[in-house]
Amino acid sequence: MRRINSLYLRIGILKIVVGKPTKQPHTSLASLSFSTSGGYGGGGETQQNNNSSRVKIFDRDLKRRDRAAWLSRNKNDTFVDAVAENLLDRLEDCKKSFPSALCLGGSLGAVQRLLRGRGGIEKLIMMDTSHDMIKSCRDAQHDSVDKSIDTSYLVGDEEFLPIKESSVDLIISSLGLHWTNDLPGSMIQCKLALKPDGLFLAAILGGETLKFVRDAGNLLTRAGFSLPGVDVDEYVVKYKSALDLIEHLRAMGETNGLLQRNKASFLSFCRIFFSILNRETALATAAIYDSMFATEDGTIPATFQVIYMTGWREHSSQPQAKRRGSATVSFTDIQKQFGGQS
Amino acid sequence: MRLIVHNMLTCNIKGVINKFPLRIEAEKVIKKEVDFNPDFLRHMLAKIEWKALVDGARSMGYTELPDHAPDTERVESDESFLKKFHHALLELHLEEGSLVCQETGRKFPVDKGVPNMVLREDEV
Repeated sequence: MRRINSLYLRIGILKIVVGKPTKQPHTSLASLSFSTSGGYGGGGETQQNNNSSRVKIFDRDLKRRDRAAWLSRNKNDTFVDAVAENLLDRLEDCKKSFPSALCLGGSLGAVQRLLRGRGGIEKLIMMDTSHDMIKSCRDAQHDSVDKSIDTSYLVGDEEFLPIKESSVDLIISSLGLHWTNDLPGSMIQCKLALKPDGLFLAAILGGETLKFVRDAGNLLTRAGFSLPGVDVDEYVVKYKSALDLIEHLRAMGETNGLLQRNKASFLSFCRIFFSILNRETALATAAIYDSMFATEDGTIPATFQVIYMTGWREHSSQPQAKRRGSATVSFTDIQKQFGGQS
Repeated sequence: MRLIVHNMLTCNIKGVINKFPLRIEAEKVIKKEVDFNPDFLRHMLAKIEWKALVDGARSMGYTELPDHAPDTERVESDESFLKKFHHALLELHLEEGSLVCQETGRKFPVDKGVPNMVLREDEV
């Protein structure tokens, strides 16, 4: 593994499955890691750190700048839009309406643009750690955004949510939470900010199919959400060249902190580590990638896995599992009733 | 920042108990008219922390709000009250100033109407 020191801490971990989404062998490419002068620890050590306490993987200043950069470069990113649309669609599955909603940073612009009155939202608060992103959203409000929704803007961090407990009906986060250093902590704070019977709706980038679904389910349960729901979608995005892919990844700045906890997966996947600075390295990696993985028509496909999570703040109206041993009918009775075979 | 948001904001420093409400130090307040929507206001009334609203409005220079909100039945007919509530909640904008934690004194700046609640590295 080559290591390059640069000014900024940047650990970008991305799983890229080349070709068809399933049943392809994973291949290792040159992986590059970067360490900061700010004392967060060398790239190598942090990667191997598999403990459950909060690992400072992301430099928060950097996270802020990168998310702003992503927004400015990818205003019409169809992948981001597809994810936001899929997430917002879930609001139509609920008969409930959500008068007040908090939208956490990630694809704020896409959510704002694609909301289209779903969920019965009357009051919307848009929050991101990047001031630029917030300003950009506020400016965009003049165009296609629903003016009947009372919208406010706030610069804030989901890891340190400045929102009063039990004050919002809905929290939405599309492709934002995988940036956090402390995803479980962020989710707990989201839960606390929700009113009883409030909904948490999030889409995050995933890294590995089955294990991650279980991880996501565990996260929801441990954060104290009721009726947790997890599902996964894969999106194959085709790039004209490997450089386009790399540029997109750099712009998205996609990283997945949860992969840190799974050492085995970490070692067995194909990963590329990117620097937001080093274009020469990107070009070199792109050249190798092109020669190894281009399909017949010359395009480079990459698969992004998105995990959709839903969870509710507990409320007495929700279906609850009955106490063990409280059954009044046995399976034998049921069998007799319906004449089933033994 | 309007009082509709201020009424939900807390200090997010770990360990702070008296985190709500944040005291407002206003440097620049502007007024922007918004359509009057009595239904929306009635919904909001049930969820608002009244004292925080009154104190916040006073800090922004608006003193017309009563110390206590009238009962829900009376609110239906009291349009003058609703108009004051509307003005305080939705039309007063804190453009420049700070939100101050009552316990730690930490000031969260409000810049061009947007509060910045992000903690510094040394506070985290």
